[in-house]
Amino acid sequence: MKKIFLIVFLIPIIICGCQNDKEINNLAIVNKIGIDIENNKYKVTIQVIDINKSNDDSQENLSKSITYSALGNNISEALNNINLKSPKSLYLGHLELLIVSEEVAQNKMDKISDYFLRNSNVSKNFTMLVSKTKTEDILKVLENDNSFPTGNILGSVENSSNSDGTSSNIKFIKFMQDLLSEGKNPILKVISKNDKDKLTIDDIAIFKNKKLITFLDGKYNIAYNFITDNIKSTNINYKCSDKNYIGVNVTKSNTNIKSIIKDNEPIIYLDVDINAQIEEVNCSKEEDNISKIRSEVEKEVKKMIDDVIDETKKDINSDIFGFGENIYQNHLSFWKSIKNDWLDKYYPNLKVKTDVEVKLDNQGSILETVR
Amino acid sequence: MNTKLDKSIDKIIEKVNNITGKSPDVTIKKIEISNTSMATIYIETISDSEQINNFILKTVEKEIIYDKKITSKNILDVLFNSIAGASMKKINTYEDLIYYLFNGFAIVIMNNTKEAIAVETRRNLSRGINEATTEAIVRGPKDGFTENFILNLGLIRRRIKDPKLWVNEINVGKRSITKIGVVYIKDIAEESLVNEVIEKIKSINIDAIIDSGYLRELIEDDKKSNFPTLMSTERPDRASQALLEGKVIVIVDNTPFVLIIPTFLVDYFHTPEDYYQKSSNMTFIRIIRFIAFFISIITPAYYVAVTTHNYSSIPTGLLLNFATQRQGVPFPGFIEALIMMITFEILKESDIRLPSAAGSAVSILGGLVLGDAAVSAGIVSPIMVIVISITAISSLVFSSVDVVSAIRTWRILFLFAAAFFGIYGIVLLGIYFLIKLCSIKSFGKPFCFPFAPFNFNEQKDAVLRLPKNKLTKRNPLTAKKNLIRYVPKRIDDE
Repeated sequence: MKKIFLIVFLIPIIICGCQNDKEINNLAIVNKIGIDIENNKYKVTIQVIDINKSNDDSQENLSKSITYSALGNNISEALNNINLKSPKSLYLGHLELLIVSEEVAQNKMDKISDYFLRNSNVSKNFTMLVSKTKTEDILKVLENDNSFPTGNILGSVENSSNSDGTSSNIKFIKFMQDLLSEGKNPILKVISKNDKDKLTIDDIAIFKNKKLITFLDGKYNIAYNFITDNIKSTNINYKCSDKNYIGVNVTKSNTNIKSIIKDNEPIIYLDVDINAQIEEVNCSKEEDNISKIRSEVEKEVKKMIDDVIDETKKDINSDIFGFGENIYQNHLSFWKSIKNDWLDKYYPNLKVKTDVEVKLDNQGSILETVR
Repeated sequence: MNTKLDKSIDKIIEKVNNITGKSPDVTIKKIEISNTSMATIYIETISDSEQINNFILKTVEKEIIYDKKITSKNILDVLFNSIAGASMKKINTYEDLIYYLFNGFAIVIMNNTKEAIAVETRRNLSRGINEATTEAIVRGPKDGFTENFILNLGLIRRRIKDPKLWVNEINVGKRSITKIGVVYIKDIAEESLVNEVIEKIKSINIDAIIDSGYLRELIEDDKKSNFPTLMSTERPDRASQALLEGKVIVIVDNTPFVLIIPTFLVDYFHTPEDYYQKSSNMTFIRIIRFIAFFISIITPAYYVAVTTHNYSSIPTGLLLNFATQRQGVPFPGFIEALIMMITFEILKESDIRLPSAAGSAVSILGGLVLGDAAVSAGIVSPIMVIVISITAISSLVFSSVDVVSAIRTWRILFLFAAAFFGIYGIVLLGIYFLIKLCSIKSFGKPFCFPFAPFNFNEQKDAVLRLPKNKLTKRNPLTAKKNLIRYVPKRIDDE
């Protein structure tokens, strides 16, 4: 009995072999990767966090990064070529940002994803961005970005998607899910560099059939987040009179998508429930009316949502909201019959019925108004 | 084998001298009275000569010298009846004579009688009752056991004045003849357990029992495991609490450490103080103790695993922090941890053995030189100093030296597992550790009770400490009769 016990415990120890043990100070922790195409080869640019201890123990030194780049026929070859240049071995387990150039996103998205999906030592939870300019240039700007440990740019993506819904922090794993799922097309945010070496994240890159097809203006992002139920909080302002606005703060938003098949035509019902509170009222007393504010906000949100759906229907024809996915999940046999014509025939004519309901939790009542 | 006493006291004195080798403390006082002669024999170092004066010599003077009626025939009977000794025995063999002599009795012998009287004149050799030094508590009784068997028994009796508190006295050790008391409450404790303990102690054949540690090693079931399966305590209140749970207490003469049989793992997480303070507060402290237990076993191993194998299991910020601090450290993390752990153990050991006057020197050397200077010299990373400190401090939550030692052994084993196989190794060894722990038996009782085997009712007083009106029953594994401990007063009774 004791021998069996010993053997059971020895087997996993013997067969697992010596794992890849390396002290952390001998690792080059890759933080950001950019992928371009140059001379029909991939040009991979990586940014490694410099962990060399300086004599004075100030925190500033922690945020230094070193940039390497190399060419290769595929991602792993390029990374191997970088490894030859770097004094430490590359470690991608803490990758935080992957930027692909427009050219890569248009043609090679499925090919480069394979490396990141297949390799067990690579983190799957990094943010993805598309760049209209060369990614190498953008990473050069980020090299001087001294916030620690995530770059400024990542922080701003995260912040704007969490606090006002004007952006979306799309992680690699989410992107791959959308890319591979039936009836949904992924989006990515676009990073661009202006003349003064400032980086902005604004536009939305829209994918169709695993390829980048076009860009959508960044103003549609809030509506996109409303439909995909990703709003954590945001602000909505509407004009109440000539130059005056009323602002409400959305504290909670819940979206339900329902699909119904009627006469062989799919109809999508969008139910958006919003909890909001009044933040600022600049209008005259007649406009300061709870039920009126409610209906106006409802109208405003409905308009935003309808606008972005119309925009994707017009000539993009990409189902970025996952309406097809909803039909696939609820009406499988119907989906099988329309699957091939979904984006070309059905989506442009899809009926979407939006219903927005706003609850004003905190009405922001004050005894005497200033006006 | 019993040799009868001789008639002549000169012969007896000669034989006693032969047996004891004329030790200077064996005092023999010969007195000639009217028509016969008598002698008192006692050992000066363990007998009280003032008591001998008061009890024996004065009586002899009063009763015999002035009373002419007494003949040499009945002189011993007269003495036996008139000596005001607390404990007296008539003896007629040399074996008894030697036994009582070395237990602090004074022996009175008389010519032509073939008999002797043993009078208890034991000198009080013990120190007074002091505070228990190894198990400090904040709120609660401060007294601790001493080296005196009778005093220790008295400390328990003072707490439990139940006539059912029975004591079984056994003498063990051919040379030491150490008094060992098996204490239990007759109508709570399991009879078979009591018998087992007594049988085990009786069957010991050893020359001397110097401390209860000797006894523990000899009667322990699981001699291989490094977890102490019998708890030793210095606190009478803890011993009394154990008695009320139906456990058996073993008091050994000449040591302030009393054994509790059987002992469960959770007992080491409990202190007597848990029952003296508010239950909710003590529950929190108990949870802290369990956390400290795991911290002190696993922390160095986890740190090594994370810095050499499983870098992806910690946040990026922390990884960078570790990596930066490890810059320029010449040793691998595993060796670094081993160096620091051994250094700490050396420091701790020297601090215990050192006379207290030199203690501060050790703490200065240890704290400043080894901690601070080693870091600035780049031999160890600052984070390693933190890891080893938190580990060491956590293990010191346990008052029992035995548990601290057991934790240390497993900590090093876990460190090896982590160095070679990372978190995978920690999990693997963790499973082995749990199996090993759960297979330990303390006098036939599962060591991990009430977790394995699981007992829902006993969870009230394991990790948690519920209020006393919820703890109405004794531990069913140890207590067999009179299970109800407390009957809460109902409002509708009034």
